Amino acid sequence: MDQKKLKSREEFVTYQTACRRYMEEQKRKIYVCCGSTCMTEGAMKIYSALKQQLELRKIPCTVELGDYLENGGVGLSKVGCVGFCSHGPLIRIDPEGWLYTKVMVEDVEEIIQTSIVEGKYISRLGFDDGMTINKRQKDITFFQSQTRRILKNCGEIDAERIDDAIAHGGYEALVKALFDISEEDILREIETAGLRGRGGIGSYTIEKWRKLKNSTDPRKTLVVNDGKSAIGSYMDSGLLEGDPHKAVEGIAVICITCGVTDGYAYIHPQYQTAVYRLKTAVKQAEALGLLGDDILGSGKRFRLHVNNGMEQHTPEEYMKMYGHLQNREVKWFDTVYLDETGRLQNATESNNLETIVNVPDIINYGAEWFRSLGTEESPGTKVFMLTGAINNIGMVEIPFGTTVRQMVEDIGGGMANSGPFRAVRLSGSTMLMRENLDMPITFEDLEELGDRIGTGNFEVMDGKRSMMETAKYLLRFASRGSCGRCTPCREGLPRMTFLLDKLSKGEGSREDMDEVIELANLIQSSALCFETCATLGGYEIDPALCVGCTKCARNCPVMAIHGTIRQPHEIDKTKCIKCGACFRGCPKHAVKENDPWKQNV
Amino acid sequence: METKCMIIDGQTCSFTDEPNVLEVARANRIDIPSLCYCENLSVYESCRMCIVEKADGTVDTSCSFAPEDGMEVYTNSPKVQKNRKMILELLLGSHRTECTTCDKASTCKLLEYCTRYRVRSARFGNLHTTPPIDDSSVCVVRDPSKCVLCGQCVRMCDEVQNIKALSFYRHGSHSFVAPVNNMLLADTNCVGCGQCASVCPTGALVVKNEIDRFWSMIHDPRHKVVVQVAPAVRVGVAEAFGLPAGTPVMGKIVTALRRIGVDVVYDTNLSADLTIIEEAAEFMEKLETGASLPLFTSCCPGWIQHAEHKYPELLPQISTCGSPMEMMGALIRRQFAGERVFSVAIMPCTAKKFESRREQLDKDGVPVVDLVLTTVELIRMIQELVLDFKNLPDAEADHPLGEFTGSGVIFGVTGGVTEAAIRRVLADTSSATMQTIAECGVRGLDGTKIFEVTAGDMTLRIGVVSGLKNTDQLIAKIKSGALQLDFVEVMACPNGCIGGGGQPSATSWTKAQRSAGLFRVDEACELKLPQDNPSLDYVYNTLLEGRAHELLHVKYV
Repeated sequence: MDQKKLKSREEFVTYQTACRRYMEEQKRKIYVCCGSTCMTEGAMKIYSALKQQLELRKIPCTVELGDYLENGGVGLSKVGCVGFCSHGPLIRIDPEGWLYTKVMVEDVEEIIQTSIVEGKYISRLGFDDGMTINKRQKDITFFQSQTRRILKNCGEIDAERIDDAIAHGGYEALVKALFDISEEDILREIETAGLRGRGGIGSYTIEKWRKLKNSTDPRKTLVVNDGKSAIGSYMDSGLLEGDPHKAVEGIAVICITCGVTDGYAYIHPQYQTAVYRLKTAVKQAEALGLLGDDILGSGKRFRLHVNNGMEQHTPEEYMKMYGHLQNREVKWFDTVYLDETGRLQNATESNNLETIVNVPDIINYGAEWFRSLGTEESPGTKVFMLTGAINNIGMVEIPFGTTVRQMVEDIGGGMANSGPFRAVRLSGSTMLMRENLDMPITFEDLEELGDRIGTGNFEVMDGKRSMMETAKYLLRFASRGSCGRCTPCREGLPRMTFLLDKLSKGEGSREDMDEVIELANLIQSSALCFETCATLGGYEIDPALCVGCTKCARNCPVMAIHGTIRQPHEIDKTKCIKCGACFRGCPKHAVKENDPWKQNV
Repeated sequence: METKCMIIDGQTCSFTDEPNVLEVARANRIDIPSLCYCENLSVYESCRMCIVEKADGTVDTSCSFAPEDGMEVYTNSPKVQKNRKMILELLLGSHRTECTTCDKASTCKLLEYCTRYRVRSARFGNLHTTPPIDDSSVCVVRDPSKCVLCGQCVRMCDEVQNIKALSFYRHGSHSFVAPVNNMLLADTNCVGCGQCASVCPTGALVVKNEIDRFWSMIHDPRHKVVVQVAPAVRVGVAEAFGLPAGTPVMGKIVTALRRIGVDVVYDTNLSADLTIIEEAAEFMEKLETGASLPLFTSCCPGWIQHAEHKYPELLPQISTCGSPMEMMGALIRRQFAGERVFSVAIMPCTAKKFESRREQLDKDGVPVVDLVLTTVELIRMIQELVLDFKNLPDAEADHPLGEFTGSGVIFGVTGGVTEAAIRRVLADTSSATMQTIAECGVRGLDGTKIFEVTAGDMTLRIGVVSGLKNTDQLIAKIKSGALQLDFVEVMACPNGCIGGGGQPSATSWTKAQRSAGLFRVDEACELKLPQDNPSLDYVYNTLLEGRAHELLHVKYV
């Protein structure tokens, strides 16, 4: 379609109708999942092969922006992350809704011949959950158990084509915000919806936005970051890869509401696809007149600048971002958030991307609709990265209040290789144990545990996962994230890492273990903030599994394991330094690790 | 004000408007240890030494929460003791311990707490590094290996002095404090006020120690060692020798210096009187000729350096009078013309060490002062001789440059220069006039004082600031035109020289005592006006012999 600037609301509606008509005219559609995970497995090659095959067979198809066919034909789309990452690359065929998993380039010819030309299902490529082959995407439990609101368009629209987004209702909220609803009403609606920040702490977002709105600074700014550098949290990049227009729309709505004319998005450069797609989306929206000066003839202006960000986990990294924003060095004492004292030159507010993506839906469907899912204190949905020792790995969206068990068993498809469930590491260092399995995932429940919901990484661990290694890993992460302000954390963490390294090499002593625990308790009770790691619980040998091979006794550096050959062995806990040598070496997995915390709290 | 009560360690403690529990405890004579808390700076809660246990068993830093009526905290519960001890063990492990040779050993907080809490070793291993010592500055020496990252120096330099010469770099266990951009301290815009060293709890920042050079000169028979003692020094040494804080002990200092082996002791008060006479004359001349005002004072070397860095356009408005130390130095050179004199100044100030090395202040091709020692160094030397300082007999400074009036003494406190100048202009010693001057707004330890004085048919608008942040704010107001002043007194250190970087570190209470001590000396003086100083005639007619302007004035451009 021609890319003329839209100058009024009516022109937008006409354009939207046209987009929808063209979408409907495509009788059959092929969606190729081109999220990062599928792309690493060759989704782009599959996409090109499909295109080549369609051209070879002279099947009319819509590929690029602009070539719309009057008589429909086959629509081929590069869609963003569908979320079913462990089974990629994925291809969906509409209108039947068939989902093909683990597709290879070699399968392309068969797909075109059988599914497109003959209209038949290829059961070889269907998803087998162990009982039946699920033909359609909506039959799969993984998708059934989710409620996709933010991710609604992920997997449905071509992320690099604005027309797709507009046909699916994109930018409707922006139009409403420009013409229908007053700024105060928008803020009130968000307040009623009770939207909370998805970046980790979970503060009520409206407080930030009210501050921003009330600021009289003419150069006030809004910064949006994908600041989820907690281990394994990639949902923001997934969002941007799947539906960048929703992000653009959300930022634009909030900025226009708060009177901000320039917004900044800082995306980690390692998410190349996300950065590219967001930049493309901004360019397309500007070409259509949905961003820029005098948006749709409303007289309002807003520009979004996309920059390479960095990890934003520590105050210093935040400061670097603000330094870049203001083209100067920002110092330790400049506060991170909106600064009333004016130290940061201009009033600045920062938001996590996932938070802001909720805004268009709240405006479109209202606060009541938003509150219909989730709990009283945690309304709405949250995107999680589901990883670890489970069958279905991927990006999922669940309403707040879903239990840990539902996440593991229904959405995750149970433990991989039927292994035993051990723990869940939720964003950063929140550890959920077996007794927390039926706990609903909400801000308030995690607060009760003394933890936070964090950014949304959900790593399931099974019995083979060494808690010693996990503790070391988390310690390294914590040391890297430590700001260095308070003594216990700054001085304690490197020493804990040092001691654990020593212990896991088998060079430690009982006293070293005690010191680790002492330090952990010190950090937990006296540090400035309370993000602390797990300490270790110790090991036991399961007499039912032990065959008495003596390997553990030979591995033990402190001779803490004794027993007769071919008889179950025992660990002398007074001697044990918890180095994990027995656990790692046991051929029968008879050595069990006790859960952390149990001993010292 | 309403008095409320809280319970600390089972002891009922009353409080009114203290901002946090730590202050309440200290006001009630319960010492909670802290390395990073300073009453004049923002709360940083980084060292975690001031932890207390609340009634619900949680541990929190007492500097960070406000007292409440009926609140109950414990400063020495087993949990607190254990954590505190561990924090010390951790800090000790990152600190280069060479206490026997450390300059701060006698006042080091870390050493004091380690002794108090019986921490004998760095139990968790020694992880300290040995980055090079930065002794580029002539005022302050920085040893990063002793830094405990309490951030007091960074906050002092930023929040009180607005110099921002020091900053934190990197994060986590790699964090360190360094001058901006990790440069040498001498290359930054540091003015050498020494406030960072006075708040530093360890030996990471110390005032440059030049005692050895002094001793070698004392022991050199070819030199005549002439010492001048600044006004604020006499009230700065008392508490180090078990006397009430702020007691003026000039007589004992003179005796001690003579026992140390100093040949002549003079009093900088005389040149303070001289400064006022010169400065007042300059001011009256400027008023008459209609030169651009305000006239800024020039006594403070920290302020001069700050102005050179930040306000070069204001330099013509700064008085051309040399500082009292420079004037006295010039007089000493004249007094002993032809002799080999080693001229030493004992000052409450670290920036004076820089001032004495400025080449543009040299007279007749030689520096007017050879060596500047701080109050702390004087205390060290007295301690070195193990004099029974408390019971030393009083002695008077040598004549003829030891005479002084009340106007000279009060130079040591913020507002003192201005008050002396007003006395000079009004030239009236009646008690009613003295009362009016004392109550016109010039006294008090506030950072910024703005008031008006009527002299004859003139009304003078006067500003008195101490602390460079206050100075910057005042200058911004003057520049914007929001404030019009005729005379501005600037002291770089908060509360003036009594709180100088060379003085033993002091709380605001101690500083108030020192200020009161100076005014007591002033009251005891029969002569109040600078022009009444009996030595002036000798100074102008014999010593200066018509070279007064050349020897007493300087040009900083």
